[in-house]
Amino acid sequence: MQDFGNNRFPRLPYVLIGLGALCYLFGSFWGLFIAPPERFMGDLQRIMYVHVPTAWNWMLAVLFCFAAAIVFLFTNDLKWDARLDAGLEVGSLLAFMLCVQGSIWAKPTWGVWWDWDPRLTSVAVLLFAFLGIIALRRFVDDPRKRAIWSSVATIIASVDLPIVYMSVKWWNSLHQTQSSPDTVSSAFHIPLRVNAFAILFLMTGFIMLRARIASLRLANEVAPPPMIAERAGEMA
Amino acid sequence: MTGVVTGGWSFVWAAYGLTTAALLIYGVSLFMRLKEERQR
Repeated sequence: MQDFGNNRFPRLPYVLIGLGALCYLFGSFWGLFIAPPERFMGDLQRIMYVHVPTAWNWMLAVLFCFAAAIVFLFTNDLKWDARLDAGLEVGSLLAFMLCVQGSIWAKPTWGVWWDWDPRLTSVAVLLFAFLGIIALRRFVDDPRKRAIWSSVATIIASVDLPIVYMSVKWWNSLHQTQSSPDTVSSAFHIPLRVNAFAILFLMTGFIMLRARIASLRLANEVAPPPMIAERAGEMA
Repeated sequence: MTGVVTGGWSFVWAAYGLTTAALLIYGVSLFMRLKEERQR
C-alpha cells in the first residue's frame, strides 16, 4: 500500500497532545484562580485566556492550510493534500470555538450574543468557507481532482485572513484591536502565554493525527482492487 | 455605579467548559477514527 508520508514521527502527536493538555490545565488554573480581575471587566476578562490563544492559533491553522494548498499545487504530492484535509478540519474546530467563546464574552459586555461587526463577520465567513471546502471534498471521488479543487478553494478563502486581522483597524468595530502581551498588563502574561502554547501544542498534535487518518484513507483509495493486486503478485 | 462589570463567573465557566469539551471530544474522536482506519 502506498505511504503518504505523514507517519514519520509516530509518537510526536501524542507527546504534543499530552504537553498541550498539561499546559492548558496549568494556564487555565492560573487564569481562573491566580491572575487578578481586570479593572473594568472584572472576572469576565478571564475568558481572554482561552479566547485570545484560540484566535492566534486559528490564524496559524489558516496559514498552515494556505501553505499546504500552495505546496500541493507546486509538488502534486498527495501527502500535502492529507495535511490540508487535517488543517481544514482543525481550523474549523478552532474557528467554531472562537465564535462560541466570543459570543459568551459578548453577551455580558456588549449586551448581545452576536453582532454583524466586521471582525465577527469575517471570522464567520472563513469558518463557513472551510466547512464548504470540507463538504466539497466529500463530493469528489477522484483524489487528484479533489486535492486540486480544495487547494484552489483554500487559497481563495485564505484571502479573508488579512481582512480578519485588519478589520478592527479598517472599520469601526465593537471588537477591541488586536491583543498581544504588549497590549495587556504584565499580570496577565503567564496564563495568556501558557495557554497560547497549550493550544499550539494541541492544534499541532491534532493536525498530525488527522493527517495520519487522511493518509490512511488516501492509501486505501489509491490501492489497486484486491484481484488486480493478487494478479500483479502472481505475475511478479 | 463604579463602571466595573460585576459577577459574570457563569459566563467564564461556560467559555472554559465549552472550550475544554470541544478539545476533549475532538481529541477522542481523532483517536477513535485513527483506530478504525488502521483496522480497515
